[in-house]
Amino acid sequence: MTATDTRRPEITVLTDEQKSRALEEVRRRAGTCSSCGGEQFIVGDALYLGFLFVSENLDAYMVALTCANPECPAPRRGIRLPASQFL
Amino acid sequence: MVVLDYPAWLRIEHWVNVLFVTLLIRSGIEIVATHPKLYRGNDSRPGAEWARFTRKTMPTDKLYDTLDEEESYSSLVSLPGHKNLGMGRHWHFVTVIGWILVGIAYYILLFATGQWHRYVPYSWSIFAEAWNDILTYLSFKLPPLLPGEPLDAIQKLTYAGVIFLLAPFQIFTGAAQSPAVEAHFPWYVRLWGGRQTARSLHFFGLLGFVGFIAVHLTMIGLWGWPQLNALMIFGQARHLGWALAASLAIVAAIVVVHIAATVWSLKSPRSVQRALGFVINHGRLVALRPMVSRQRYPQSALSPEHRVNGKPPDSDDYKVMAVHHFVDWTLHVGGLVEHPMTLTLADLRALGDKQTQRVLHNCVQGWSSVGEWGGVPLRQLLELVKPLPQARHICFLTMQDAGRDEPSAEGAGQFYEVLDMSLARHPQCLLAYEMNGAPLPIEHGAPLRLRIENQVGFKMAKWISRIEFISDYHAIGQGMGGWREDNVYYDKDVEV
Amino acid sequence: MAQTAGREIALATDGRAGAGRAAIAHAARWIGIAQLISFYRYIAFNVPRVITAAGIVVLLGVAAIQLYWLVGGFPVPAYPTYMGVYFGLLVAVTVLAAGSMVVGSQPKLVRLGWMLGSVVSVASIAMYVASRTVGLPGLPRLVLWWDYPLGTFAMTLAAVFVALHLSVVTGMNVAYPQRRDWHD
Repeated sequence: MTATDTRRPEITVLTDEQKSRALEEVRRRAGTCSSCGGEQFIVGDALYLGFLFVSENLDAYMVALTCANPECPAPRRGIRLPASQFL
Repeated sequence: MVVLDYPAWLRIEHWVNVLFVTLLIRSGIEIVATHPKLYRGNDSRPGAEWARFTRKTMPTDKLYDTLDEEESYSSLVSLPGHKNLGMGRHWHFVTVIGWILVGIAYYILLFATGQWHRYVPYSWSIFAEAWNDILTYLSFKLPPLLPGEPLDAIQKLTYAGVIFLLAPFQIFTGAAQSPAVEAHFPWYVRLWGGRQTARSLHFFGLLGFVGFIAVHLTMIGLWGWPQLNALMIFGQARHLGWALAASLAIVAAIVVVHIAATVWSLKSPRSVQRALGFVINHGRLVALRPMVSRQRYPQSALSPEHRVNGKPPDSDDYKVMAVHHFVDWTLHVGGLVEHPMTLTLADLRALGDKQTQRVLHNCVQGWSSVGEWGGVPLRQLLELVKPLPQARHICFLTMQDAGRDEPSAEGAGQFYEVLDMSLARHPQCLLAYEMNGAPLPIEHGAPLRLRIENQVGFKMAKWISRIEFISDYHAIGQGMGGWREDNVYYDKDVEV
Repeated sequence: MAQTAGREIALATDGRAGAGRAAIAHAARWIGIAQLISFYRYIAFNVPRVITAAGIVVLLGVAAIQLYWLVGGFPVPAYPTYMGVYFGLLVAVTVLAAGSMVVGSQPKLVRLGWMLGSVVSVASIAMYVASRTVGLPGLPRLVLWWDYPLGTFAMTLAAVFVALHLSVVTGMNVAYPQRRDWHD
């Protein structure tokens, strides 16, 4: 099994600049990990929500965040951002 | 030479046939209403339809599904009308069982009594005579009857066409739309030019019957309604007044049956589902359950687009899992098993060699497409968890909440479906995590969905999170064997 | 939307009359009267080539019958000169109309072709009916002579063409080179 085998077709891969804009937005909102309270995150891919999900605004994305705390019991988190704030 | 008169059995079958054909037409229109678009081939690619019977247009920037496209027709043309596919299917199937039985009896009696002479031509000269008849009708005159027969030549040929060609044509094109038949005999679908061509042809058959009824009534009017009507009531052209009264009473009774079926279906769909479903399921389990899928469509047959019925779970938990490639998703397998398990997507992928199958998908609404699915055969999971002897069904619980995710669906609550254990060991019964060579897309059930190829699509639960082996399903939901069965009155077993 | 309308009627009127009207509105909605009246708007086909081909075949059928009458097949052999001119004109215009229906690069010309086809079809029906009812100058024998299959057939073809054209005009059908813009 390779990494590409499990890559979802709906996923948008973010550039470093997009990731840092997303991280800025997390900091601006004072986002914390709801599992361990940690404030440091690693930004991953993004999922466009606007098309697939009934309740979502057309410009909504879910951006993958991984809690940087190695002790965190549930490190995989996400933040909903409009495209204009990170893309 | 037998006298071609109007024996009692022929008269009775005529009026029973009026009831059955009209029920079939109305319930058939109800079924068309649920996906009011007709296509060619095996695909139902949006925009590729050659006909549509709807005014709805769908968005391009938001996922819509085929529940959004469903039309609500008047009860005057459809049985029962008002977007009730479950009821329409029950009436269509129960009527077709009756219609086929009456048809077989009719054929037997026709040939046993010699009455087949009234329909079956046995001289080429009938075609020349039929041509002359057409010219006579075009001259606004009535042609002569065939000597010693009750019909003229063109009428005889038309009846032969309807009885020996059109009626079987409808049954055969109907059968070509059964997923069990398609799965077991893929050549049969090809024979008709594809699943959607068969559906279009079935629709032409409907138009054929409607056209025949219109011309038949016109002919009766031209040739003398009172006399012909008396022949179909008393077998002789006498007591014309009484015959008229009797035929009006019969027509009224047929109308009453239609109204009663409509009102019963709209007011008490659950009891219709139980009563008609009881009859239909017995027929279905005997005739169609043994048909095991053995499909191997070529790569070139893959559909460019695969429609969806049902929308993805609209919860933050699901979306966060999705953006992390479902690493945190787990499948709980439990209930009546020796070894309950919790598996991740990686565990499932590591279970053994991936099985792939290119198969024709049938939605209950009538659309279809060919897709390639990859995953773990369910029988492999069975070997791991070892179901206990009392486990008779498998319940697939999903992450979809119909009330939250599906505004076009009637009803709410967690989506689930129940499968009989006997289907679980079918070679093409699959827990699919891939579609067309890529991870299963979100709208098609990511991360895991069921594939059971001799059933219609709603049985193949998407967005699965839990599998329970059970002895009885009546305590789950409303006890009918699945969310669709509970809320929109479909049958639990859907080989057609 | 329809439900809201029904409730508004019930709220806006008091007493038995209001309830009665609301009941009628409810019944109309339940039966689907509005849908039934506009049922043709629920039917749309996307077979432009089939429609155009059918239109041309039907129109050429009309032309062929008129030509047959022109060259001696008319049941009254010595028909007046104006009938010859009429047959000739009809054949020419019909063939012209059928021809322009396939010039896909000129949608206006195609529309004109269909229109012309309908005009000659209606004219042919009108002339036929007139010859059998009020009578045409010099052709009294034709009055009440409905016993003529080819004539009935020609009228039927012309009527089918007009019906096809109407179905295109009302949007039930599209004709070549039009296509449906069905993205969904």
